[in-house]
Amino acid sequence: MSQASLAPLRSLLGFFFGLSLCGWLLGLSNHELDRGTVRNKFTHFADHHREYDTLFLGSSRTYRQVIPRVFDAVSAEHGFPTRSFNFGVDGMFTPEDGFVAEKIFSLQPKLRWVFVEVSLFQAAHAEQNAGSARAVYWHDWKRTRIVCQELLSGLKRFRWKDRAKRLRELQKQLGQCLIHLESFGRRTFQIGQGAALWDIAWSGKRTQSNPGASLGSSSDGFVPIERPGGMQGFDLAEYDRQSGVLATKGPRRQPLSEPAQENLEGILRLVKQSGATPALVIAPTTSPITFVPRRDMGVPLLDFSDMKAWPVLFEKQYRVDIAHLNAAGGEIYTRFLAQRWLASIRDGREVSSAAAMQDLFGTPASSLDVPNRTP
Amino acid sequence: MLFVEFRFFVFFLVLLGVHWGLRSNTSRKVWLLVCSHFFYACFFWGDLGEFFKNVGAGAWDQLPIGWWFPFVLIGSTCMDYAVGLGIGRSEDQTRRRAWLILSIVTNIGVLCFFKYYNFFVASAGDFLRWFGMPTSDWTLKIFLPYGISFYTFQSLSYSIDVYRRRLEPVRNFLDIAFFVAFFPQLVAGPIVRAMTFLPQVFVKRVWANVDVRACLTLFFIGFVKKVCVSENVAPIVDELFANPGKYDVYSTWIGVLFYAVQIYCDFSGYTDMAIATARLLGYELTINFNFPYFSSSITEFWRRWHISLSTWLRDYLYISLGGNRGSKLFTYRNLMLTMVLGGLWHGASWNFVIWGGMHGLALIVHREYQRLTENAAVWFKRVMAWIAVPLTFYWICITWIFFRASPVIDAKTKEIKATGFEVARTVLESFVLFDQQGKRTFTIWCLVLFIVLAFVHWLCSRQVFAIWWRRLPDWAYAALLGVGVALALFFKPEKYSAFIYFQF
Repeated sequence: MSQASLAPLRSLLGFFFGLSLCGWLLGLSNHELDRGTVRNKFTHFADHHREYDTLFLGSSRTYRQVIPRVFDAVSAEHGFPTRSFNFGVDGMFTPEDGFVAEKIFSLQPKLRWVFVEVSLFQAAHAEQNAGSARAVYWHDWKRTRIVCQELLSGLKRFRWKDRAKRLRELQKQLGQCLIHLESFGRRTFQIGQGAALWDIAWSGKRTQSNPGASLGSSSDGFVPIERPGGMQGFDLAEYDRQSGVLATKGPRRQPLSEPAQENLEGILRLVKQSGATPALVIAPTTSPITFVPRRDMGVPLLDFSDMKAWPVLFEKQYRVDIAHLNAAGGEIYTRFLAQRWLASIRDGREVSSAAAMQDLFGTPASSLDVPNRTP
Repeated sequence: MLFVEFRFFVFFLVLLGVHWGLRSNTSRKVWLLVCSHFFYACFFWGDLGEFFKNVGAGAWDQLPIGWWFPFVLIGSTCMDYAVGLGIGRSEDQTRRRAWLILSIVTNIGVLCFFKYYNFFVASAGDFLRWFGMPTSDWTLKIFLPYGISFYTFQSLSYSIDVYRRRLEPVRNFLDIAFFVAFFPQLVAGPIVRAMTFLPQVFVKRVWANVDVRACLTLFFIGFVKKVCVSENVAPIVDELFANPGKYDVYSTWIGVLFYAVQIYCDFSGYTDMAIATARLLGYELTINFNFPYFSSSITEFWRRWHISLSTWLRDYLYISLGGNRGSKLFTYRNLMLTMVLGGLWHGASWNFVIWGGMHGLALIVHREYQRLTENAAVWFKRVMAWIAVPLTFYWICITWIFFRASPVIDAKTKEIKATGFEVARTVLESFVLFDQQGKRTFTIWCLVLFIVLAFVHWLCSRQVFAIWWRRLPDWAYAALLGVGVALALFFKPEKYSAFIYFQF
């Protein structure tokens, strides 16, 4: 190759070198967690992690329905006192939970028990929030790769007769990958961070005005969903439809995708390396499909997705929508969670239904026998 | 599609590659013309897949508002092409004038309809109501096509130059279409004159003549001005003008000064990027800004700010009105009329008329000042030379208050909480009379940033940064550009707003 033809190549390399070097130097600054619930909870946990020995990690299905004080009360009642913290965050699915888990365990907390919600990647959710600080902050290369693999793993084999449909699917999935690659670029090069800092500088305001709101009234990380009047409208219609299917056929179990499995295994590895004992949790939703780990991971799987086995958790009076329980429902759920876990670690028993729970612990299986609850 | 968006970079790379890959000048012009119309159509057609699907299905009511605006551009081009030929074929002066009048009436008529119809109708209604006469609402739901103020003036310059025999009429429709629609300057200028641009269109461009490094540097500077400076000071300006009575004097000054920064960086940034992209394609556009805030008089300001518009107004309006070829009062009348109409060109609002009138007044005052101080003492002239620049800048900032002030509308009820005049008056009271309006304040970092920006701007005006980067080897320059891009992206806000001058 002649010098003249090498010159543009040298320039291009020089450009990317300068871009990468400066981007890397800027990226050495703190890759902040988002300025909302994740950071608020992380800040609190970082300041108080020595006080906790039990952690719940997951989405709103953890955040809004696992009540640490109830869990601690039940476990103390049965001789296993715990002090737990709810690190559930609305919309925190695979692989964001993996990123947050790495941050949590980098603090070297002395946890004994960690409950991890089994989740999968939610493409639509990610697309809606694309470009936001919340979407960008967890897009390191590992998580971006997991997401892109997840998106492209759904590609069906190309068939000529379905070419239009396949091409449309491919276009959609590539478009979704691009969104995540853009988030990766934004995070790597700290795009917009300077502007965000300037926003704070000129106004003198921090963007998050009430950190305590994320932690709940007891500062244990639990915040219930308040919906006066219960399920209505679309939520009620969807609940009726899905619960009708569940009641007749039960949930269809499907293994997690390989990328989601990789993410989950990563979290469990972190938990075990820290010396804690993990457990997996599947929250009670009316989804007709329940995603379970692809392979036996050697940890208890506390699955509450079966409506027939856990009917009280699916009663309308305890639900806000198809995916969430209200405060009263959360209390029952947390009680079940604690008791099921206790049965597992104390007696080595797998309690797979509310009826079995009643036999073992005397906890009522139906709503008619629910004991007095702390308001 | 804004110059600062990622999709524009992809679009331009493809365009550039094909442009320089094509051999003949005609094929290049066809390619650029198609791309220019595509660029313009992107502003109105939204999601192209959705658009063509609806067109194919005949679902005309589903098409975005203003989808037909690109055809207004084509119509304007066809009309001026015909006018040029018509004038060129006519030796009879009356016929030539008739063709010219057709061009002026059509171009100005289209502009007036889209831009001023509602303004005139609403103003007439207000005037009649002031006299107690009942009126009906004759306003229409009209949306302004982007760039119409620019390309109508550009088309007019062609017709007028052909009429004045400064330019031969263009026979090839492709050439005139390319001149009008060339995308770098289509939407927000600079207003290109047919006399300077058409000769370039006739000649095949040569890649070897393109100073790529200078183009990339200019584009980068424009990008930084728009994205890093203008977009980051905009929230401060918006905050002040949305809440004019709630901020203290310091914050009012900061808000007004930052508006001066915002509008300059937004507009000159766009122009820099337009000039750079045109140069990369081998075409030269006119310079539009020359450090206007360092002007020592309003007269000088208008030789440095939006140069393409001010020279257009001078050559086609001021001189046509008679210029300074009559008495002093006659000259001043022409000055005021030109500046008022220039203000009105910017927008259909009395605020812009006032803005233009204030500049007209300042031009008149400056002329009188020059006349009266021609034989003034040296010490006096020295003192005035010292204060001329800050005084001129101060006056410009005062006029910007009217330019920026827009009605404050309640987000929930949509009621007008304060008119544009009231906003301008409140800000003026604080800016000029130091009337403490409210207690809210911006932080000291705003002042620090303003000082830094002013200092850097001053250094640029002294050409401090003009030479050294040219001496770097190619790979070193590229690395430096990479560092610059990384820093620019660091300061890039989440979302861009459209360029301010797009609304004109």
